[in-house]
Amino acid sequence: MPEPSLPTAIIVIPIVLAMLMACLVMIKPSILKDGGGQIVGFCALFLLPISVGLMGGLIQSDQAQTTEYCLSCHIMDDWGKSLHVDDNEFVPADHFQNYLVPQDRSCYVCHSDQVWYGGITAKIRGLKHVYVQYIGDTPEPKDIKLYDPYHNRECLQCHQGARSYEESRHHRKEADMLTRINTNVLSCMESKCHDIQHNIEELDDYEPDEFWQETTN
Amino acid sequence: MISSLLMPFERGIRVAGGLVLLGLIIELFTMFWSHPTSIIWYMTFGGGCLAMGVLYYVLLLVWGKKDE
Repeated sequence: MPEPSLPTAIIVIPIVLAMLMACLVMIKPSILKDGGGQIVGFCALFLLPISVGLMGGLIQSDQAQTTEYCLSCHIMDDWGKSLHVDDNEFVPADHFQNYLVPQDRSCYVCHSDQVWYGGITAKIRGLKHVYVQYIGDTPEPKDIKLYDPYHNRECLQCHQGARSYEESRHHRKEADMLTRINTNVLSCMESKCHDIQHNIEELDDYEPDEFWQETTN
Repeated sequence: MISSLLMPFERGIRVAGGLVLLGLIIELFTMFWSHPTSIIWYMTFGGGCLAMGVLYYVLLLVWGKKDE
C-alpha cells in the first residue's frame, strides 16, 4: 500500500479544523441561536463536513487507482509478478518496465474503460472485488478473467496516431487491417500479434533472476 | 410531523455535532490506514455518519423548535 501522499497529509488540516468546529457546537450549542453563531453552526455542521468529505473522497479515490493499491490484495501477487518478468514478449511487462504506462498507475491505465464512465465502472468493479475478497468466494488466480474481452480502445488511447502504430508494416499487412483494429473488429490481443499478456501460469517457468528489479540511483 | 420526531434544539445540535465528529474521526483514521478496505470504511461509516449529522442539522434548522 502506498505511503500517505502530500494531499493526504494536507487534508489533515481541514479535517482537524472541522473536528474542532464540531466540538465547539457540541460543547456550546446555545451559540447557534444568534446571527453570528448560526454562521458558525452552518460552517461546523454543513459547509466544512461536506467540503472535507468530498476532498477526502477524491484523495481516497485517487489512491485506489495506484498499482500498489491494486496489488495489495494477495490474490493479485502473480499479476504483479508478471509485470517484472524479463521478457518483452509479455505486453504488460514491456509497458511497465519501459514506462510506456505510468508505473504507479499501470493497472488502472490499462484496465479502466477509456470512456467517460470508465472511472465509475472501475470503482464499482473495485467494490465488487473487495466484497468477493472478504465476503464472497475468492476464486483461484487461474480462474480470474476479465469481465469483457479486452477492448482495443484501451490500447489506442496511447498508440493511435503514433507513427510506430500507424505506419507499422505489421498493421498494414492487409488493406483494411488498420481500420479493423481501430474499430475493435480485429483484437490487438487475440490476433496472434500481442497475445502474451500476464500469462501467470507461465511465470513458474522463469528463474528468480529472470525477473526485472528496478535499479535505484 | 417531522418536528415532533426531532429532539429539542440544543440536544439535537449536540447529536448532529457528535455524528459529524464521529464521521470526521473515521475519515481521518482511514486516510492514513494502509488497507484495501480503507476506502469502504471512508465511504460507508465515515461518510454515513457525516451525512446523518449534516442531515439532522438541516432538519433541525427547518423543522426544529428553538428552546426558549
